[in-house]
Parts: sequence; C-alpha cells; structure tokens
Amino acid sequence: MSANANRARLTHALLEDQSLILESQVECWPLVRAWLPLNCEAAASTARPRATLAVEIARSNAGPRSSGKGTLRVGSVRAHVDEHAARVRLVGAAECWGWVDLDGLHASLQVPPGGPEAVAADVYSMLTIASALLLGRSGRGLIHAGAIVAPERNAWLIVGDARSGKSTTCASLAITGCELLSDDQVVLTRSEEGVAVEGWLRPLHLDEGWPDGVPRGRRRTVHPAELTGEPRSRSVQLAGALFTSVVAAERTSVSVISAADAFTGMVRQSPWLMADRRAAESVVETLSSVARLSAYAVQLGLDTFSQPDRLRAVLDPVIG
Amino acid sequence: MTRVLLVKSDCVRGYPTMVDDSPDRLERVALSKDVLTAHLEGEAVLLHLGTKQYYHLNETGAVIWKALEQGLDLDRIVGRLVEHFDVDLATATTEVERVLSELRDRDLLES
Repeated sequence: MSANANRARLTHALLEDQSLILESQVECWPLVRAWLPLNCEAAASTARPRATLAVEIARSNAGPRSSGKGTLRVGSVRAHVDEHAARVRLVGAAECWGWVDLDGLHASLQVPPGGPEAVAADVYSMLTIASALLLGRSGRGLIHAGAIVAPERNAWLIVGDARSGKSTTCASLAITGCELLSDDQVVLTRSEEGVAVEGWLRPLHLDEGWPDGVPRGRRRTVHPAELTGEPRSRSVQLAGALFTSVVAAERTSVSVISAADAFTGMVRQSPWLMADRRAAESVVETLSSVARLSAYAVQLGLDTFSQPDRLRAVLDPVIG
Repeated sequence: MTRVLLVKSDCVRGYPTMVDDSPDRLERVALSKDVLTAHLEGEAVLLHLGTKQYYHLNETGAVIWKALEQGLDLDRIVGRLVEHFDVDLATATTEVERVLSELRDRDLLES
C-alpha cells in the first residue's frame, strides 16, 4: 500500500444527492478549502458517489509537462483531452498536475507540498475543470454564473463576464429578500420537470466602494452570511436567466433577449463545454432548455450601485 | 470568443429569374460531424467541437441549416427560403450560395 493511501482524508459531497465526492488529503486541505463551496458538507458514510475527485500531495514532481496549448485553459491550467475523449491531462504552471478518467468518472489532482500562492490558483482551476468534466459525463452542466431564488421559489441564473456586475446583482437581491445560491458557479440538471440549479456558494468579491456607492475598482471579500440568512435550498427549479453588464453612465434597465443570445451567453461562461465531445450534446440540450425559459439583459447603471432596493424595484417585474 | 455568422436577413422582393439547374446544383451538402446545433426559437447556434468556436445563425441562416440537416439539395433549400421569406428565387439562390460559402469557410460543412 502506498504512503498516500495511508494519509488521512477529508471527504465532502459536492452535490445534494452525493453523486460527486471530493476527497482531500489533510495536507492539501488549505488549498482545497479555498475552492470547496461553503454549502458542501461532509459526505455521508452511506454515499455511493457516481464520480470522485481526489486531491493528493504529489509523490514526485514528475508530472506531465505542458505540451501545446491544450484543449482547454482555465487560469494557468491547461487540459489536454485525448482523441477518444476518455482521459484528460491537467497541467498547471506551479508543478500541479492531474488527470481525469472520463469513462471511470474519477479525477486525481497532484499538488506539491507547501508552495507559493500560484499553487492555490492552480488547484482552484484544476478542481473547476475536473468537476465540470465529470459533471458533464453525468449529464449535468457547470456554468460560471450566480443564482438567486425569488420569493415565489423560482430560481434565476445571473450570468455575465468578470466585472459585469454579476456578484453585485446577487448581493443586492440577497439583501432584499432573495435567497443566494451562488454568485460564482452553479450546476444545472435537466429533468422532465425542467432545469434545476444547484449553487456552489462561496464568499463574494464585491467592489470596496459598494457600501457607500462609489466604485473603487478594488475587491473585498464578503461572507454570504453578511448579506442574508443561511441558505435554505441546494437545488431549485429555474425560471430564467438574467445577463448582466455595466454601463455606468446609463440608468439601470432590463430588456428581453432572444433564446439564441441567452444560449451563447451561457456557452461563453462554460469554457469546458466543448472539451468533451461525448458529453457536449447533453450539456447543450440543458443550456438550450434554460435559454428557452425567460431571458433578460440587465444593463446596470450607477443609479442602482449600492442601492439594492432600487435594483430590486427594476427587477421585480421580471423575477417577482 | 463568440463568432457571429452574419447571415443576410433583409432579403427584398424582386422579379423571379430562371434558376440554373445544371447537375452540380443538385448536390447535397454534408454537415461537419464536429458540429452540434441548438435550434432556438427560429434561430440557431452552431458549436464546432473541433475549432471550439460557436456561431449564431439568424432566422435565414437557421432555415438553411435546418434544410441541410434534413439532407435537402440546393434547389430545395432555395425553395424553402422562398417559402419562408418574402424573397424571390434569384435573391434566395444568391443568399443560399453565400451562406454555404460562409459555412464552408468556417469548416461547418464537409469539404
């Protein structure tokens, strides 16, 4: 038995149904904790996961070196998917590496002991890529987006590029009574009833000037508990999607967008979608189902920055 | 990065003209096996799994693509455009040829 097999591990369920499990050696925990969603609890001893991710201290630094630009890049991590879409090599910039067995539904991520801050960034990106690919094989879609639950118990995706006002919109809606599922990453699951969204809740990174209404361009970390009560739900049916952008000089406004525009907006936030051609069709169908729900462009002006009630009033006709 | 395939949609009515019915016009065009399609309320989005690019087709482009998916030959695709839009045969023919050329340039069709 190898030394790694004997090391103590922490095991967390990444989804409510415990179908995706993250195992981390205790020594890797400080790196993993930054990525692990706040609402993911220790896995039940009875869990029978469909897919697993393991994070371990590298036994050697003889991992694969990056060759070529890869199939997919997130942060400094490149993913190389083989021609059969069966196995993925992950190569980071900070001696982090790993692989994903897409048929066996298992990922193994190797990290150097200790190491600089870059290691933490690589671990974050590798966990995101590996979980997205494993979820895809389970017919689920990971998307870089936020989600809130309106009082009528309908969930809305909040989609946008970095600095598009996505987190600020999530925070404003959370303060005004919506439930915050996530401002960062959500998992979509399609069924006969529609599409359910499950949030991976993490601390938010809001503009330092948000409390006093003057954007400063620097971020501060805000724990979700500072904005709203404990989340009540993990998985909620989606009613639609809001696509945010900032046009500071204009007044905040909402307008309907086409299903095709909504779809491309979500594809843009799912860079892993086309990496695994055997999972892509199912994920495309899921995103299409979301796009056919209600979709709106939310153009955010300074008039609603740090004015949650005003933003809520603009969005109320849409989200209720 | 979004690559928007601009498909002309402002076709105008004109006078019908004769269609060239030489044999090469009856060819069927094969779609690339690397392309996934999302049909969305009259429009379509094509995802090329090889190049990792995606393309937004407007209504006209989506009708042409749907016809290609159904294996229609060029004459029948032109006929479908005439049927769906307020457009004459000559304009529709030019439009279909232009769109096919654009699709080929982006490796969305088998060469």
